[in-house]
Formats: sequence, C-alpha cells, structure tokens
Amino acid sequence: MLIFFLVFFILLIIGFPISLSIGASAILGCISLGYPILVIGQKMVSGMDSFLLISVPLFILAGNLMNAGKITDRIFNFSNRLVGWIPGGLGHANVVASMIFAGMSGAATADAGGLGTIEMEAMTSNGYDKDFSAAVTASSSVIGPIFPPSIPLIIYGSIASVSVSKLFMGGVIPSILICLTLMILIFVISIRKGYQRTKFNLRLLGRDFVRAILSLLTPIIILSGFTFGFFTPTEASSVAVLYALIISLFVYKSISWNDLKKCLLDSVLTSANTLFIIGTSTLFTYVLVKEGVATDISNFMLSVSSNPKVVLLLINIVLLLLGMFMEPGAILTLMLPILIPIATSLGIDLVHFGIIVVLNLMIGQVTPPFGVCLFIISDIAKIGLDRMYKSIIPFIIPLIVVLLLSTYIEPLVTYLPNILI
Amino acid sequence: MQKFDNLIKTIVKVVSVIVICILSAIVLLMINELFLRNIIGKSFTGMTELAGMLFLWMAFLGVIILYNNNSLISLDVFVKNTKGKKRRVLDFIYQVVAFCLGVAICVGFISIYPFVSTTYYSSMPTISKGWQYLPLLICGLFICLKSINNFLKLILTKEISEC
Repeated sequence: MLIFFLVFFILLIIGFPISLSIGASAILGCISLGYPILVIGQKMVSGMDSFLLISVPLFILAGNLMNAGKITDRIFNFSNRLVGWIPGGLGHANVVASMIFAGMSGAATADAGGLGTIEMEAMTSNGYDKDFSAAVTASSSVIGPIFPPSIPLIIYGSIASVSVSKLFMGGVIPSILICLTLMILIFVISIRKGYQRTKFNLRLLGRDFVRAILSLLTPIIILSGFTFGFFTPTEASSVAVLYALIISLFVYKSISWNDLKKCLLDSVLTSANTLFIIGTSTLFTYVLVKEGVATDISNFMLSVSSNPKVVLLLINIVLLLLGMFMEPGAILTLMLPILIPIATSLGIDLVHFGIIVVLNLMIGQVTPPFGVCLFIISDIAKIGLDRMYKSIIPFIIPLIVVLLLSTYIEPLVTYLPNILI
Repeated sequence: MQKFDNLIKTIVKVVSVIVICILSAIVLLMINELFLRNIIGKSFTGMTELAGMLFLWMAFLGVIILYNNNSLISLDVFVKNTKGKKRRVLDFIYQVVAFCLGVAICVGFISIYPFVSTTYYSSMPTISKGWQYLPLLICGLFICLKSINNFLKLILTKEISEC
C-alpha cells in the first residue's frame, strides 16, 4: 500500500496530470495486490456511468454560451446599476453579477474565466487597484458552485446518492451569505481606500433591468423547474443550454457559428478533465476500500471524538487542506466513500454534509498555493501569483465565516430543501 | 517523424469534430426526452440510455484532445522551471509512465470485453454494452501512440517542447 501512495505523490509532484497520476497508482495497486485486470476497465467506466453526470458538460456549455453570447455583459451592467451606489460600487457589482451568473452555470472556473474578464476590466479602468479587483473577482467566483446549479453538488449527489434538487436548494442560503459577507468586506476596504461609486439612477436601473431580463430569468426557470417537478437536474441542464442558445442566437444575436463550435469543444474539454479524474479516482477508491484503508481512516476519525461538531471541524480542516492542493472532483470521488459512512454514523444530514463538503472545496479553489481560480484571475489581471496570494487572504475570512455558520447552524442549509422539496 | 505528427494531428482533428457532434446530440436527446415526458406524457428509456453511452464516448474522446494539448489538470509548479538534463529525465519518466498506463487501459478493456459484449441495453437489445467501453480502448491506444511519438522526439531531438 505504501508504494501505491508513494507512486501517486511522486507522479503528482513531477507534474504528471492528476487523473493519470491517480490512474497509474491505482493500476499499480491493482496489479501488485493481485486484483483481476478487468476491474481497471470496469471501475473507470462505471465511475463515469451516471445519468446525473450528463448534466456536467451541459451546465458548463450553458455557462460558456452565456459568456460567448455577451450575456454576462448585460448581467454586469445591471448589477452595477443595482449596487454600484454603495461605496466600492464595482466591487459589489462584481459579487452580485457572480451570484446571478451562478444561477446559470455551475463552475467557479466559468465565472472566473468568463465574467471575471469583464469584471476585472471594469474595476481597473475605474481606478480600483489591480490586487483588490483580482481578489474580489476570485473570491466571488466561489459563489458559482454553491448557488444552484452546481457541478460539485451534482458529483456529490451522484456519489452519495442524495437528491440533487435538495442539494441545490441547500446551497441557496450559504451562497447568499457569502455574497453578503463579501460585500461587507468590500464596503470596509472601499471606505478605507476611498473607492468611487456611481449615483443611483432608477431610470437607468430600469433600462438595464429590461436589457438583462432574459438572462436574469435563467436561474428562475432552472430553480422553479425542478422545485415544481417539471424536470430533473439533468434535464434542467439541457433547458439551460437551450435557453442560452435561443437568447444568444435569436434574441441578442450575439453568437456566431464559430463561437458555438468553440463553446461546444471547450465544454467537452472542461468536463472531460473532471470526468476522467472521477473515472480514475473510482478505481483508486476501489483499491482503498478493498484494502480496508477507508475503514481505517473512518475509525481513526471516529476515535478522535464521537461528537458530530468536533468531527465536522476535523473534516473541515482535512477538506480545506486537500482543497488547497487537489481538484474538487478528485477529492469528492476519493474522500466521499470514507466520509459518508462517518457522517451517517453520526446522524449528520447528508444534504447538510454535502453543502459543507462543497463549501470547503470551493474555498480551496481560491486558497494558495494551488487554487485554480487564483491562477485564472492572476492571468487575466496580469499580476504575479505572489501578489494574488497576498491580496486574496482577507477575502478567505468571510468564506471561512460562512463555512463555520453553515457547519454549526444546520437550518441555514436544510431549511429551504425541507420546506420546498 | 513528420508523418507520425501528421497522423496524430489528423486523429485529434477528427476526434474534435466527433466530440462536438456528440455533445450536440446529447443536448438534443435530453431536450427531446423532456418534451416527450412533459408534452406527450411518455418517456422513452432509449433516449437516456443512448445519451449515457454518448456521454462516455464524449468523456474518453475528450481526454484524447486534452492529452494531446497537454491540458489535463496537473500540479506543474514544482517542475515548471526545470530545464536541461533534469527536464529531459522528467520527460522520459513521463512518457514511459504514460505508455504503461495506456497499455494497462487497453488490457483493462480487453479483459472486461468478453463480459460486457454479452450484456445488452434494455431499450436497444441489439447493441451490447461493449460499445460504451470502446472509447476506453481508443483513449488507451491514443495515449500509447502519443507517448511513443513524444518518446521518439525526445530521442531524436535534444529538446522537446510539446511533451
């Protein structure tokens, strides 16, 4: 077993892709432990063979279409009119726009890479310093995978066999809390730095609302669709794609045939990256479970304390640390078979647990040293990673506060799913 | 060497077109299913089974493009600035491991094929589940092919930029 882990870490450190590192070490584990070779093919395919996971490329495609169709511009303009009058106006607009965009896409990277470009440009050209703008843009992109729809929640639901509709609803209040806490921090920093704001103008707000109304309807269509049982989360993703396509092609006429081809290919590649990690991680987890490592880790965690609050704190620390170094899809596939039995044995609600897990992993996306969103934003902002690391630190505090609130005040997560679904 | 490069480029081009078509087909199948269920009140399992099979094809074929473009997610910060001999050694290790992995994936497919080729979809009784495992073999074969190509480049040239 030692070789199994050693190979994995060595390959990871020498720059071998995460999915291939997991796959290579798992295959080596299978061969050295004498498992039948057919499990290699079986587990890699079965890990991805889930109807629920079909929604992953579709939600990514919806987000890409929104970006390519310049729908994100309209969202940002509307957000700016709505909250731009508060000190640090464009910072608040950045957070609100990410919140609206979150209702159409389900990935932090889609927010950071698409909407992030518009947000960074608007902020820096209006006198906001680059480091602050980059930190706001990166931290607000975390809202994407927590507010429904959410790709990590779909993966969680698929692995833990939990209702994705309930998970989606569970993410609503924590994402609103993230939005509010980030806005409080932006307000405080902006007062100190004296950032400008725009005057509130009801007529212009009305004009931008009308311009953005079709894009603003997307999250409402998706949320109401599966709340009232019109469609499943997987079907919701196809509705999101169809809707984004119709408004970009026929209403706004802002997307060309070449853009469409690019969106389709980019969506395939983004999702294949995550899905391949899930496939190889399924094989890796199979070896861990077969060899009893998963049970040993569970027993160790439960031996530390049987108090759910203490165990949740421990899980939070472990996931935050893992999130700093690994891709969320890999962590979900590798860790959930270990963590779900612990949560179940302690009587923790699996919807509540799912939101805690995803919150941790999303904080990892903006935490040094390997937060993917930090890489994307530092590239867009043209600032070095060292500056990015320094500027993001204050913005991690509100995220941790929301994580702790969601962990220890269960109704913040479970209230909406319980009354609506 | 040029012919080898061209072969890989052609494969990737063809695969790119295929995955675009597959994703479009998945969207259409899902919308069609939604329409049938909500408007006509009938659900056809074949739609979802076919979408599931296409989804696996899309995922594994997508890996081909990602592997070719060096776009699979990795933690390259430790080795990003490595140059010269150290870089070459790392590249050699990379290609050898990738080749072995590709072979293992192909062997994994060959081992499972006798079992899955006799299992059929409930809505498509003539199509065996072997079809949904086939992209795994294609992906494994491409990883082998590309790693051989990169390995040859490493031997024939002093530097390799695309590895």
